[in-house]
Amino acid sequence: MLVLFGNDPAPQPTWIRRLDVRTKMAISALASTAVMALNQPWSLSLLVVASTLYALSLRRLKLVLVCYLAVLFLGATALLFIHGLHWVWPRASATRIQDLIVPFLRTGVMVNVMLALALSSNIQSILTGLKSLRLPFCIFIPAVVMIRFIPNFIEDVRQIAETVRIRGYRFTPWLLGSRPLLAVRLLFAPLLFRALRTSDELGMAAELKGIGYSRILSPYKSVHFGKLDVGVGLTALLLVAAALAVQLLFPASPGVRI
Amino acid sequence: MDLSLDNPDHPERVAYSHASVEGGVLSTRLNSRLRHGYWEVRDLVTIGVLAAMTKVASLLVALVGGGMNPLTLVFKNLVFTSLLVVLLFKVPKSGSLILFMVINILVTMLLMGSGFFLMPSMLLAGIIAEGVILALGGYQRTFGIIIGAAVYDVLFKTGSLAISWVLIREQPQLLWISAIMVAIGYIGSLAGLVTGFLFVKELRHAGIIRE
Repeated sequence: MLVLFGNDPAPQPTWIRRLDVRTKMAISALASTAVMALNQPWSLSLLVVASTLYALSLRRLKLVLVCYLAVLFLGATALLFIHGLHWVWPRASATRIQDLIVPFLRTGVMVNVMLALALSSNIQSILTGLKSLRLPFCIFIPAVVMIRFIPNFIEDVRQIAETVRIRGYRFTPWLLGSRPLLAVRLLFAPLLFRALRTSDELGMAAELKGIGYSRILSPYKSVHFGKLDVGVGLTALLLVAAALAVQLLFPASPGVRI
Repeated sequence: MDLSLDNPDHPERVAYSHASVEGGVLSTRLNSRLRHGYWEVRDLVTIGVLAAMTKVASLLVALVGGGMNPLTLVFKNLVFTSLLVVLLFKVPKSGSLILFMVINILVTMLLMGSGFFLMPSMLLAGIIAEGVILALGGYQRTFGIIIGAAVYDVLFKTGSLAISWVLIREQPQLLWISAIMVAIGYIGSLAGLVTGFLFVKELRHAGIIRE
C-alpha cells in the first residue's frame, strides 16, 4: 500500500504502464478468484510463473525482489510455527510439503498481481478508473476520499511520530505492550482528532463546491480499452483456464514429508 | 403532489433556499440532503476519511509492532473497533456500518486484488448488526451502537474463520492457529469498544461529535 503512494521519480515505459487501470484491477480480481478455486500445486505453479513474469515486466527488479524476500520471510516464519505446533501437538499439524506449499503459492500469485497494479498505476489513473466504473454516488465519494487521503494520513503519522519523538518517547513493540493506553494516547488520539477535523473541513468544502449536484460527471481524462488491454485480458483468462485444466487432468501426488 | 426533491422548483426546496440566505452552511447541508436524499456529502466524506485512517493505522501498527504477532493483533483490532464506534457516533444513520465496510472492502479489492471473498461475511455481519442497533433503539442510543459494534465483530470474525477454512482446506489443522489468532484479536475488539466510547466522550467534549 505504501508503495502505491510513493513517488516514482522515473517510471520506465513498459507495456504494463500502458494498460488501462481497469484491466489491471480485473486481473487482480480474476487472480484472487482463481487462487480460491485452485488447490493443486501444479496448477497454482502455472499461475505463479505467469504472474511473476507479469510483475517482472515492471522492470523494477530491486523493489520486486525486496517484496519477494519479505514474503519468503513470512513463509519461513509460518513454517517455523507449524513445526513448533507439530512438536507440541503432533496431530494438530501435518508437515507434508504439498499441503504447506499450496497456501504459499496462493500468496505468491496475489503478491505478483498486487505489485503489478500498485507499481504501475498512479492515484489519478485509479480515480479515473473508479469514475468510469459508474459506481453509485454513495460509494464513489468515500472510495475516492479514501484513496486520495491515504498519502495525507501517512504524512500526518510522520509528523505526529516526530512530535512524540521530540517529547522523548519512542514507538517500539515494547511501548505497545507495556503501556498500550499511553501508546493510544500519544499516537492514535491526535491522529483521530486531526482526521475528523479534516473530514469536517473537506465535507464543507465539497458541499460548497457543489459536489454531487451534477448528474453527469465529466472525467479529467477519458479512459478507453485498447488492443493491448484486450490481449492481456484474454491471455489472463486463457491462463486461468489452463490452470483449471491442469487441476482437472493431473490428480494430487501423495506428497513428501519434511 | 410531486414528492421528488430533485425538482428545483419543489416548494420545500425553495423554502430551504430562502432560509439559506441567512446561513450558508445550513443551506449547503439542506440542499445536499435534498439532492441526494439519505446521505449528505459530508457523511460520505467522513466515512471515506475514517476508512483511510483504518488502513493507515493497521499498517502503522504492523510496522511498529514488527509484523503480525499477538500484541499487534490485539492493538490492530482495538484501533479498528475504536474507529468503528467513533464512525457510528459521528454518522448516526442506518447503513453507515455497511457502507463503511463496503468501502473498505472495495478499495482493498481494487488496489490489492484481495478481500472480496470477505464481502459476503462482512455484509451479512453488517446487516445483522444494523438490525441489532435498530432493535435496541437505533443510532440515538449509545447502548445500541456499542452492542451493534460488538455483534458485528463477533459475526465477522466467525465468518472470516469460515473463509480461512476455504483458503487452508488442504491443511485443516491450521484452522486451530487461525481460531486462536482470531480469539486473541477479539480481545482487542472488546477493548476497542471501551476505548471507542471513551474517544466519543472526548470528541463530544471537543464539539466534534454532536450530542
